[in-house]
Amino acid sequence: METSNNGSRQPDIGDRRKALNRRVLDDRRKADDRRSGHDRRNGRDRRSGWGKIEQHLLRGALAASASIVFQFSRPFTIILGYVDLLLSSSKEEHTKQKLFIIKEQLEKISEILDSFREVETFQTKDFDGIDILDTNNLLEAEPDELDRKIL
Amino acid sequence: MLNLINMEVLLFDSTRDQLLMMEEILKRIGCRVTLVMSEYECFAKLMNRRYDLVIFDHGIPGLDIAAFVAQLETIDRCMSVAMMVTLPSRFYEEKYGCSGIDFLIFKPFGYKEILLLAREAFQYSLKLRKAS
Repeated sequence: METSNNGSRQPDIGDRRKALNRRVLDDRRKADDRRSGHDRRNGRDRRSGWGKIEQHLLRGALAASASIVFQFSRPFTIILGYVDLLLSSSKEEHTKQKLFIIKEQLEKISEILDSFREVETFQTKDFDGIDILDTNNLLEAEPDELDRKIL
Repeated sequence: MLNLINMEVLLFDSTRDQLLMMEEILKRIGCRVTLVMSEYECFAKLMNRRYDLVIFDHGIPGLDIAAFVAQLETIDRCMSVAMMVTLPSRFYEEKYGCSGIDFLIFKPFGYKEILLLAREAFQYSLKLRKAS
């Protein structure tokens, strides 16, 4: 028993898949329109994502270190300036000694800030179970040639 | 050795704390110091008096540094211009390399650095004035 409800059957033109000339008629796509897989990925390849994780971490570290340096630099400069002024005006030996100690410590902080300024690679070190930014190698590095020339 | 006595310095910053510290150091060196806290005030002072050195901060909110320095040059080409900065010089080289900024002074700085800047800037300003 036929269950098909093909009320209006199409005229039988045979199996289209077997026809040898099924692309004889105009193909919708011209050869020029076809692009290789490589072309489609021109510009930005979505599969590559947004870059390496290390670069993201470095960008984050750079932003954080620049922020620290910017925010510390002004109050730090003011403190250093006044310590210098007190050192040049103070006549008491006791006070001078203490001011020298303060200045020494300020210079140490200044070196730490310098190391933050020079962060170029993302490296961390373990500090009692906490990952902290490793800036030790930068502290030992030679200062930039340009920085030496300009004050 | 250069005599810095009566060297005219114009200090420009948006906050007073840093200005006061620098003023005290520059006065001790022997300079005559004028403090300003706005761009308008800065140009008004420059119109009325000849300065040897202008020192301004890189972080003044709303200040177009390139335009500001260009304006300074139109007022007096022989005046030294110094900018107080925080990051290493390579960050400023590309951006302000071709502007009229003559000196960068890196924070944190103290008495010694300000003295050195004043000396070099005065020397440079004198050289430019002689040449012109």
